[in-house]
Amino acid sequence: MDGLSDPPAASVEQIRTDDAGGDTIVPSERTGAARGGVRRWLTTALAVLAFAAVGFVLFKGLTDAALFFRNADEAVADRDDLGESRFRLQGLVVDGSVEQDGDLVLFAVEFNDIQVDVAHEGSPPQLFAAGIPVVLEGNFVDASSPVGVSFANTDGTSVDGYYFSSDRILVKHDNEYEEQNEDRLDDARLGSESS
Amino acid sequence: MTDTTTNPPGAGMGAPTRSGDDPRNTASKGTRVFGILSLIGIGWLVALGLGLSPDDQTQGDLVRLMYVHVPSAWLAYLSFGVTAMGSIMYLWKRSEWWDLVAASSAEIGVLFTGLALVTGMIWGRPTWGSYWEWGDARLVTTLVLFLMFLGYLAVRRIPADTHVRSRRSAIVALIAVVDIPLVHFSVKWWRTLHQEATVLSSDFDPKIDDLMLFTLMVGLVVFTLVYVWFMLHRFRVAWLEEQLLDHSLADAIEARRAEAVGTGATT
Amino acid sequence: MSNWGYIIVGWSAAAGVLGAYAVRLVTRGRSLSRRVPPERRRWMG
Repeated sequence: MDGLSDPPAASVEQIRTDDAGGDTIVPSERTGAARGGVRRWLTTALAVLAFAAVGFVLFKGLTDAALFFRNADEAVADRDDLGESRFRLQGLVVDGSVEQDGDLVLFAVEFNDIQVDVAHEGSPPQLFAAGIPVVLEGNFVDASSPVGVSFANTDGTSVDGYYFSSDRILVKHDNEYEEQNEDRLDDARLGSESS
Repeated sequence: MTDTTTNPPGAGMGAPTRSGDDPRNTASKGTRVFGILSLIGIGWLVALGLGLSPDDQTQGDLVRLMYVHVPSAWLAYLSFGVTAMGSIMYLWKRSEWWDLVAASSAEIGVLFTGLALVTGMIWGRPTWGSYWEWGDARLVTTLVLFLMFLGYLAVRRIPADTHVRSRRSAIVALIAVVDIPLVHFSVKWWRTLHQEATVLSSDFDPKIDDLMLFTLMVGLVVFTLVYVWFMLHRFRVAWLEEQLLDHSLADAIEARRAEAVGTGATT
Repeated sequence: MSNWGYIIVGWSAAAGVLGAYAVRLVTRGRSLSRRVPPERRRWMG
């Protein structure tokens, strides 16, 4: 392998010595100073751009990460600090809690046995169902429920006096894959499958 | 195509190429073997991934996107791993051969990383409900990987003396490759929307249906075969480019000119 | 509720990108082979 590297290396030397005055002009620049200059400028700009983009992505990621993922139990513990600020709430959709009320989807999420009532405005993604881990974006509201509705289907373990108002649901699917069972197919399609 | 007269099949007879090498292109016995295996494998992967493998309990048929997404991501790791190895070997041996290995693998790695990002976005939309999440460490570190190696490829193209270019790019590659463990463990170290590894899970007990796992493995093997085929061709292309750049640029310009005119008179 | 749109787009993206790159590699290899004299084509050993 080492031997193989010799030809190109040797020929580079050759070009250099062939060059009148023995200067160290690189081969690709010999196509013309103007073209070499443009090429150098362009490629350098591209490289700088790529690494600047890395910086931007990291910045964007870090600022956004501040908003990321508080489990339901942590969110409840930090509720006073959180106030009405926006954050992301993670939990498992509680079985039998999902209920549609006009534009609102009412349900509860649970993590480490702590439940939070959720009122979501908008239509949830297609994989949304009871028993599925979700990440919600929104804030706590200091009221037991949105005006005119109530969380009828929660089993009462939720902390009273506030609920989580969400406008974005992300379904966090897990890393387990199981063959779909024909018996459960209909249930799954109805979005009410229990695992 | 038009050059069969200027470069007849026998033109490379005196050259120290191995049997099976075609002097008119970068094919060889090796590329033919890997090419055919790849095509057979792709046939299998399509049959399994789009047909025979079962739907998932929660994801339904969307699980079929896994068979292109996960192998793409794995091959990105492999490609950049080879780039890192080539870079280290270059810095150690100062052999252009290793520099070209690193460069070739990096380009292919960028391709697979891009593919992993795109297929991931397509998968994320129906499952998570979002194409992209800036707050997700897996997504962000993967995008960083993609951009850093794009930067690496740009650095390589900055006109410079061969040794300067090779050393410079080897150092960039070794900085960029640090991101790979960050990508891989991001799902463990940070809370992410992206799920944790299924097959390379920490307890080595993949919770995945047998036929799904088999299909995923077929995908991995097929993508690796394609990678080897790519590498053979890409390395030879890089090698030929070096020859052009190195030995006689004047000749090359002459050849190009001759080609443009259509006389086809080269050597 | 069919997701085959997403699946087809995903698989096509993979096929398209890999296929296009394969074609480009072979074409580049051909045109470069024309310009490099045979005795300089030792690559792998």
